[in-house]
Amino acid sequence: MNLDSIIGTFLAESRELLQQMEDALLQIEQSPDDPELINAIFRAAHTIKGSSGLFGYDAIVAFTHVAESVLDRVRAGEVRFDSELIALMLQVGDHLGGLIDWLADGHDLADVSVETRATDAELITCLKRYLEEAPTAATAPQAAESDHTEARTASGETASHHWHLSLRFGADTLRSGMDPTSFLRYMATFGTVAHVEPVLEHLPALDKLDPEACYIGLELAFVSDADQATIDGTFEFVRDESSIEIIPPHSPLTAFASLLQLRQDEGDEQLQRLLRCGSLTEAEWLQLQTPAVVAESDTTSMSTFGSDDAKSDFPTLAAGNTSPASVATTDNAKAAKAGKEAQRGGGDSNLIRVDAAKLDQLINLVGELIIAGANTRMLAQRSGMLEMNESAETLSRLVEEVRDSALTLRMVQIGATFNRFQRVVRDVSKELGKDIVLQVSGGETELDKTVVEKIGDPLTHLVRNAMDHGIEPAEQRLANGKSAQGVVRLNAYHEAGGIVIEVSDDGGGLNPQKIMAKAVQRGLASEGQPLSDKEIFNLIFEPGFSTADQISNLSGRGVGMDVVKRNITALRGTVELDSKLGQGTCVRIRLPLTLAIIDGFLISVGQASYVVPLDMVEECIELPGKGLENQEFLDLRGDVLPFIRLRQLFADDSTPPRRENVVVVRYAGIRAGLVVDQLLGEFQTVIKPLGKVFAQVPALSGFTILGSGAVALILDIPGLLAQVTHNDNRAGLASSQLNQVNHLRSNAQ
Amino acid sequence: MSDITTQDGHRELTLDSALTIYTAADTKLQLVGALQGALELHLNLSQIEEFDCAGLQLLLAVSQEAQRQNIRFSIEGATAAVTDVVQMLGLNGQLPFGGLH
Repeated sequence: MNLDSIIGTFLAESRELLQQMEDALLQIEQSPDDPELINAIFRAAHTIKGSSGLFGYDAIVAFTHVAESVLDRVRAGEVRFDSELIALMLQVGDHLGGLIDWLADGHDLADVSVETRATDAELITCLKRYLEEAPTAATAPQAAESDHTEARTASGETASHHWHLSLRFGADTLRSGMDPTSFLRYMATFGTVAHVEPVLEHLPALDKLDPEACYIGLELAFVSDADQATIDGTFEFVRDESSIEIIPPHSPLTAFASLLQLRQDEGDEQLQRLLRCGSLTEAEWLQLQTPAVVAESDTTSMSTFGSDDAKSDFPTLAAGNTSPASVATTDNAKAAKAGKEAQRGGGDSNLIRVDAAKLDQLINLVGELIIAGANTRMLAQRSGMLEMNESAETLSRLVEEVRDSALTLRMVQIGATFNRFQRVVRDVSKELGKDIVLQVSGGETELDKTVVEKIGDPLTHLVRNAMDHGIEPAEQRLANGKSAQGVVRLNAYHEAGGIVIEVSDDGGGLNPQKIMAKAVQRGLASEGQPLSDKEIFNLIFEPGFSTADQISNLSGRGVGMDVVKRNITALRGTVELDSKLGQGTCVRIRLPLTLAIIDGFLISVGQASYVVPLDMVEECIELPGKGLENQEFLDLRGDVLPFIRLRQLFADDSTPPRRENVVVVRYAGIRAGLVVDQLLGEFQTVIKPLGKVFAQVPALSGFTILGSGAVALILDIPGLLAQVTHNDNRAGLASSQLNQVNHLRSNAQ
Repeated sequence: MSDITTQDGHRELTLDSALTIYTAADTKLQLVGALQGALELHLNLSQIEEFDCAGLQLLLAVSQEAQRQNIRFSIEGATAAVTDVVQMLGLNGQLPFGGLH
């Protein structure tokens, strides 16, 4: 693996982590004290810092470190997540995202723009405020708190002028290429190790000794002007598996009490080491042993020690980046962390990161396999050999399964995309000064990854639109008897082989008269044209249409909705709008599940074959022979069913057979019949796009290759159904379009 | 190559170039073998050019084991690579060094 691909992974992972961090930050607004969420945020920052360090992106490390320190204090319960801190952390995430993007574009971190540097500095200043703030009152009140405080005030702080480091390395430290000596060598670059006490108690007898495990521990007296961050940073890569305790100079005695408690298993020897290091004096030890303090260390758990420390007012302590309380990790916390890591590890190990291009290639190959399989099957049928036929059937069944599982590989849940809108809604509602919440449902609905990627922009536009134009100002809402808080909903569900995504709001809704007037003004409709409300609403997807009286910087320039429609059409989807004046608006996007392969229904007219997506086929009936020659409706069990004669539509001159069939198709609630010659049955269809020349043909959405090698045209059912509802197009396609179709059909024959 | 000479339970083991995490597993086997049935073990480290904590732990464990079995144990010809680590970790006096290189 070369460095570029590793960096690529780093960038991708960092983006993912930032996304997780953002998601958690948005959730934490609702439950500010959820430890899971706080941990998730902390972990994201921590991991980004760690891996940036690996690649030597020091600017990111330095920046993230400050954020991490603040988060650490949040984790220790010293600082609480309020909306201000959430906003700050969101900015931190954005800034990091910016740096990551900068790296992804192949730039050097040293060359970042002046603005980026300014943001960096500004954010650090804001973050530092959380670190300097005296950690008071933030923690939950504890019983007997006052007693303890008194006891500790008596115990005071230590006299030592040096840092005390208590290091117990994880067993795998040596194996992972770290060596305690290398830490000492590194520390010598920014300070002096005044005294070293080796800890050998954990060294087993020779026959039990694992020669590659690390048993040696160290107690160090370290004289340095470096800040805690630098010293902390030394142990970045072993911190997780090791027990690293760092006690700044002049720390309260309790810090050492905690340390002794933590190293309880080493007994008196550890105390002697502390004394030999000079980090603790005999007098101080005696003071520590005064009953009050001892009682405290007996009754209070380690974690209480931590928070108690934090509450005591030791200015030197607060000046450090992190208090020893937060450095000292409790056994409990560690166990919990280990559990979580394990969980995470379990989840990760079931996932493989695959280049999307490889998946595309696989899908393409499966497509070719289907075509080749269809050919084999046809030849087998033609040969009349029973066994051959059977084998071909088995083969095609397997190919079908392979197709399905290959396609599910590309399926992703839309939830992640939806959740991204929490941020959009949050930001936009701040910007607009409206109180709006986003409600998400149907996030588990799956669809093709390529579709998910491409749906983001249109959705953003629709959501912004709903917030800007849909939701009324609070006063108006209250006047209309609604709650002041507006709601924007995102919903997704499966329907007839496709997915439907709804963006709805409970705002003012659309006024059909107003839209009609505007449409007439813009020349999109003519005065007095009889249009249903639905048709009028959908006029806003026409190019150059905007109803906003006032153009805001979010939307209202009239370039939005038609672009939305174009993007969705490009995905073979459709978009429609529903609105009730005063009650709200709902934009419904229908998308095919996948872009590559579908189950088709093969039909023929004359010599040409056509494919209808099977999901849209409701039933097939025989065309009643008499009395329909010039009619375009038939009676389907009492319902009126409009139909289209494909022969007429494509101007096929061949003689119709004696019996014709009707394929009843349904899409988006509209039902119609297609009159065809023959029904050829189910067919796995690999969709091949038509060339640009044929892009204007409305009735076709692509073509496919049959087993015989012939071409079958895929009918664009939504397009055809739209024609059924617009009577004027009934006569058939325009002559230029027909020429194109004829050209295609002659190829197909 | 490491080299061991034996004479009436009096053994001298010379370790070659490296005593690190990479060689620790093999070296341990050699040392355990050398201790077996020995009355005296002299370890010659004059060839050691690389030395780390894994090596150090091994020496400490051998030293303790020798003490437990009443085997006379000494280390000879320790190179700077070895003594640096020993000094850095404050282990002077913990290992029976003799005849410093």
